[in-house]
Amino acid sequence: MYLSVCPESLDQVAASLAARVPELPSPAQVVGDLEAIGACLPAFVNHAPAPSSVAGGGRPSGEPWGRSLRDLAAAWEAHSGALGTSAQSYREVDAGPLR
Amino acid sequence: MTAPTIGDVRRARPDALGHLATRVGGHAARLRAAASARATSGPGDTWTGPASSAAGGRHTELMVTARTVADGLDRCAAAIRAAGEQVADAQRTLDQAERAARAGGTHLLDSGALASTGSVLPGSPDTAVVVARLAERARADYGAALFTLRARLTAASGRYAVSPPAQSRAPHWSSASWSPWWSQASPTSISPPPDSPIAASAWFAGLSDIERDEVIRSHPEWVGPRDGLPAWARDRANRLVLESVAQRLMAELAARRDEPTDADQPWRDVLRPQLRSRRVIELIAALDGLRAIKEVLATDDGRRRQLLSLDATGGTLTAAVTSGDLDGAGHVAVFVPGFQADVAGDLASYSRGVEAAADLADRLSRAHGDGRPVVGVTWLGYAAPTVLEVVVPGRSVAGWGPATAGSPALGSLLAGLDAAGRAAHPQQPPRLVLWGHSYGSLVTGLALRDATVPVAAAVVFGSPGMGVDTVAQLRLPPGQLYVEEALDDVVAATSRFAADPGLWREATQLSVAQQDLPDGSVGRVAHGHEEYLTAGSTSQWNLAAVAAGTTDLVRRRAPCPPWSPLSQQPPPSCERPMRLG
Repeated sequence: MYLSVCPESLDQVAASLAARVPELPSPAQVVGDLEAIGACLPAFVNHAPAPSSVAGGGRPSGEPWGRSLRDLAAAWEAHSGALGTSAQSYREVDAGPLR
Repeated sequence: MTAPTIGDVRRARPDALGHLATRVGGHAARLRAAASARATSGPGDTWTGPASSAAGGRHTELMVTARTVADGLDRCAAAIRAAGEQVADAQRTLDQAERAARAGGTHLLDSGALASTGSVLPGSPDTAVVVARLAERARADYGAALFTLRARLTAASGRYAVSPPAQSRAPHWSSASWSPWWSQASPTSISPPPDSPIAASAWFAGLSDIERDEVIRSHPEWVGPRDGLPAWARDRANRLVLESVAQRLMAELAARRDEPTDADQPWRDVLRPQLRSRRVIELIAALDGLRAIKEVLATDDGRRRQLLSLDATGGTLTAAVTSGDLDGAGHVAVFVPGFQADVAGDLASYSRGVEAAADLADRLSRAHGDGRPVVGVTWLGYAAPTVLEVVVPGRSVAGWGPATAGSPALGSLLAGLDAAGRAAHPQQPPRLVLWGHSYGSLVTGLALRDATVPVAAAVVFGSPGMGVDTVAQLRLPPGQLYVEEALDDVVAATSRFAADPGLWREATQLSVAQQDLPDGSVGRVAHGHEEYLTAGSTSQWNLAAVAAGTTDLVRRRAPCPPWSPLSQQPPPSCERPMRLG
């Protein structure tokens, strides 16, 4: 092996990241919990004035958090996949004509 | 969009909010654990070079994003938990209202109306007033909890519900150049505080310490005048504004110094040699006022004064200075001065009087009350009428104009003190008391009539009237309007503005005569219109006792029995203020 990189170490990191993705909080649960506030607080939904980013159209929403968590999980998986791809690239170089 | 009802307060579930807060906090903890260094260490030191750097940068971006979102969820959890506690407080107040209603043979409907139970005799009108006040307080507290929660959730989602930056287009780690997006963060992305004191308080609560510091330094004009923000922040901002305003006004004065007198200037023909244009007079007065503020703030006596407000944008410079740390106060007494009060001429003397009375109140609170600190506010926050304006329509001391124009500012101050106090001391917000002197008692009356927050008590002294016909219109707790009137105070004798507070039976009439005081001293008599704040006077003692909430210590005015000069009996020992008209 001519490279200083050990592809297996990249695989390990990629696997570690991938294993953590299911441990991220579920966007649906977070959104559900935040939207459940309205059920505990009558008039929370309609009480004036309605701040726009939490209450689009006067309705409280946890959606910004859901979107954030979905994007994070997707980016996390993509990062894990990219590390795996890089490890594979190094393996191909290592196994190539130079050897 | 509807305001909450009593039924809404009843049906709220603060315990369920507590569970939700715990769940949201749990989501934050899970996210933080997943992003912890031990769980997700980067590619390590076996891989070096540009590709490794780029991969490491991306790894860091994702971990920082995760921690940012976790911080935001923690803030949501804290906001939900705080709202639950506020709602529980509102329900306890409502419970008091319901008990009072039941004791009076009535019950409180979801709409807030009272209905007879039919089982016992209907309650007295006084009971109905008490129930209505408690119910309204519960409803208002509940509404404030909703508003604050929404504002805090808005702030958190706007600042912390972020997504990772887009990944490099390169399929592999070929680029060494990456720039962390958070390095681009700037305080310019923070929006100005909203006008509402409650919303402004929530806005400030949503800022990090670094953001607070930055916004005070970058935009002191946002923070200084905003009722609802903590006094320490306003003080810092207003001191910055003070310097910049002084420079601006001096430049304007230099440019206008030789302007001719305005054609409509009052007394122009009489005082022509002394008068300059109105704006130049305003500028000179404002600069004198700024100098007076600086001198008061610079007084080296160990006192921690705060410049609570400063406004030089109108024709009259207005300001408010505290006698101590307002954010730590358990009782706040706001002094509202009257005719001719201006920053340049009166801030120093009024501040001394307010400080002495607040200090005495603080001692009474510690010795006989709930022990919470008392802080006074010398509020020169409205354009008080002046002698030069006696003939100016809408500005005369004989009319309602200056008070009508000034009372909303006092109402906003009260709302701000309430909002900031509740943010700092949610379990026991500070108790607000007004001290209204002379024409300032009219401003006080109008502000109380229109107040949106509870005021615990008010003392008016030398009052020509409070602009209302009955004590009930002031919406104070029963018996919590106090009146002081010196025997020879001609202003108080006029009852110029609606009913005479000195004649109200529902008000507590206080003594200003020489009296033995509960601390063993002898309170001095106050004469005329200007001695109510005099140190060592019975009047000052009473002002302090009301401010401290130790109202059992006040000295009341002894009622005068019937007496005639023709009776050949000596006049009875009592206080009988003069009456004109």
